[in-house]
Amino acid sequence: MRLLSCLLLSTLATIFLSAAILLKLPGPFDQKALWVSLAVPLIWLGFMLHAYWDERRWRTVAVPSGAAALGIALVLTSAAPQV
Amino acid sequence: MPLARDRHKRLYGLHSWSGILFAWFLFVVCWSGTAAVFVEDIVTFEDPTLRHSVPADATPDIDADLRAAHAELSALGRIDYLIVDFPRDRMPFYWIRGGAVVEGEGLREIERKFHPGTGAPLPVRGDGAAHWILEFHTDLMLPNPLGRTLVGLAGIVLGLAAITGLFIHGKLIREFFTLRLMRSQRLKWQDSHKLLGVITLPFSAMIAFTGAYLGIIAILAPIIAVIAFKGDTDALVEAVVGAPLEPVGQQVAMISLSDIQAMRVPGLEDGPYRVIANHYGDAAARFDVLFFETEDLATTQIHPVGGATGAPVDAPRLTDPGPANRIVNALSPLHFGTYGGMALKWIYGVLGLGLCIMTALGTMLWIERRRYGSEGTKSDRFYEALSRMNIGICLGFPAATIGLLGFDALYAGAEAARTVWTGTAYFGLVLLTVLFALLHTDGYAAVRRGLWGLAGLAVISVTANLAVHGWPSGRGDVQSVMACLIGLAALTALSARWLPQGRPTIRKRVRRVATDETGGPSPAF
Repeated sequence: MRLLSCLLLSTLATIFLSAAILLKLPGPFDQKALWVSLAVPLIWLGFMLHAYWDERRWRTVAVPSGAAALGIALVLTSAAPQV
Repeated sequence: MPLARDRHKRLYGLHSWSGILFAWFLFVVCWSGTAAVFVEDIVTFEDPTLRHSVPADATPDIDADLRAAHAELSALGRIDYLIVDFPRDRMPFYWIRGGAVVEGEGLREIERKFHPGTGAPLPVRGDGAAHWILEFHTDLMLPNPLGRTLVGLAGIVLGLAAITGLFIHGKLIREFFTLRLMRSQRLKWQDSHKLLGVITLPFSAMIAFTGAYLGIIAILAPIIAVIAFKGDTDALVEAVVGAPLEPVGQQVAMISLSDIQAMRVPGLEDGPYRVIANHYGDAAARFDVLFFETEDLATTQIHPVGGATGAPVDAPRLTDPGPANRIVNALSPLHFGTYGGMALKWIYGVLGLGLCIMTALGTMLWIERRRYGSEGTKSDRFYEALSRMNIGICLGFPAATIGLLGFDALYAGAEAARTVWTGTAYFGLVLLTVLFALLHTDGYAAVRRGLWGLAGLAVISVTANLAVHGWPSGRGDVQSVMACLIGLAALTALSARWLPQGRPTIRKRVRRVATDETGGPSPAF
């Protein structure tokens, strides 16, 4: 379960959460895109480490799944970015 | 803060499997990166035509050659890019290159080189060792974005191994002073692995982050942005790079390249090094003129001018980079150590070598603990094969890189086929070394002989270069590559001399062995 979370769920959570951050952060899009892209490796590593850090096994699945679900919800309920 | 026992165990497991599963891949990427630090110098090392200096104030007329290249590309299809590089110290020639998208075929590229003094056409040399070393590190010679992404993943794995290593070896200060050289071989490996881990930690963290960014962002950023734009890729491109420049369809004369070459920017020492011609020949053409930054961690300043008028053009996305652009622009110099001269490259080289040795030691420890210790559930044959393969890979890729430098000097075939033969020589040397390691029953003897072989290859490469291209008088960069190879030869020869002749004693293995349904030991692999 931790392995699944580390390899798969962390990747999905990183992608969807980063997309949501990109939509919700204020500021010019090109600058935002660069800041988010800089944060991507750190977010990904954070989720991977969490998969083996947390004592509770269910939480290692719930946290990245929740983050991915939140990201998807925010993307679907937001308008496309204004350029 | 001491870690809870269970958490320590889990993080140790993560450190082990992430390290072991990707160890060889990580080693290959780290080693090729260490060599890639010197790639600018290797270019001059391998190509003697780059060793002459640029004549002062000579600006031959190559506008006609640019027009000819443009016409050739236009005849092929839609022009994708057209670039002119001006002569400079490391590239003492005019270099026109461009690409056109041919319908049903894809991108077709052309390149022309011209003498910096006379403007006479120069023969185009095929891509040799330097090109191979850099491309192998950045793309594994695979199509983009596949290769780039895989290398980026190595950055993520390195980051993960560095962070988990930091937590599981929490006593950094004590481990920094622990090197039990008089104890068993395995303890020496263990102490060296931890010591190198501590010494290279800031470096490996930086390399992991910058490498991961430069690699995975090529694939993750578009995915993330497409999700944010709900699939509208045109809007995405416009948001990131601005509205595309449209041609007006009216053909006019362009400003001369010598006028662009004479451009100066206050605060910058040198003139432009490159111009990117957008819609060359059109009334709406824009030339993006690139200057090297004087700030070390920034690479380039871009000054767009009108292609027909030469007057500055307003392009805020190019000329007014924000703080995020500055950080992103700094990542590549930071990763390749191009911001501090030769001394910094040597520091990068030594730390990179340390990273490679640490990776190799980690794998050796993991295998040794299973082959001769109490851990592991696979058969002896499995761990023995793993051990030999490990020796083959850890010796093979360095041997291939070093041998390539000698091969490039000796290559006498067609320039168009240079890259193919370079690749063949590279993988041929890797394969030969792996076979050499697989055939050795004693790993210690294999490593010892392999290190002697590496030392010999380094000496042969320097000798071949000197014999074919002559002494590089006044070229510190070429002499530095030679010094690096001789230093490497001395280091590997000393290590080979210092290593035991063979495995001291074969201890009996006391450990769990996986059993099959009949209760016997499981078959190898």
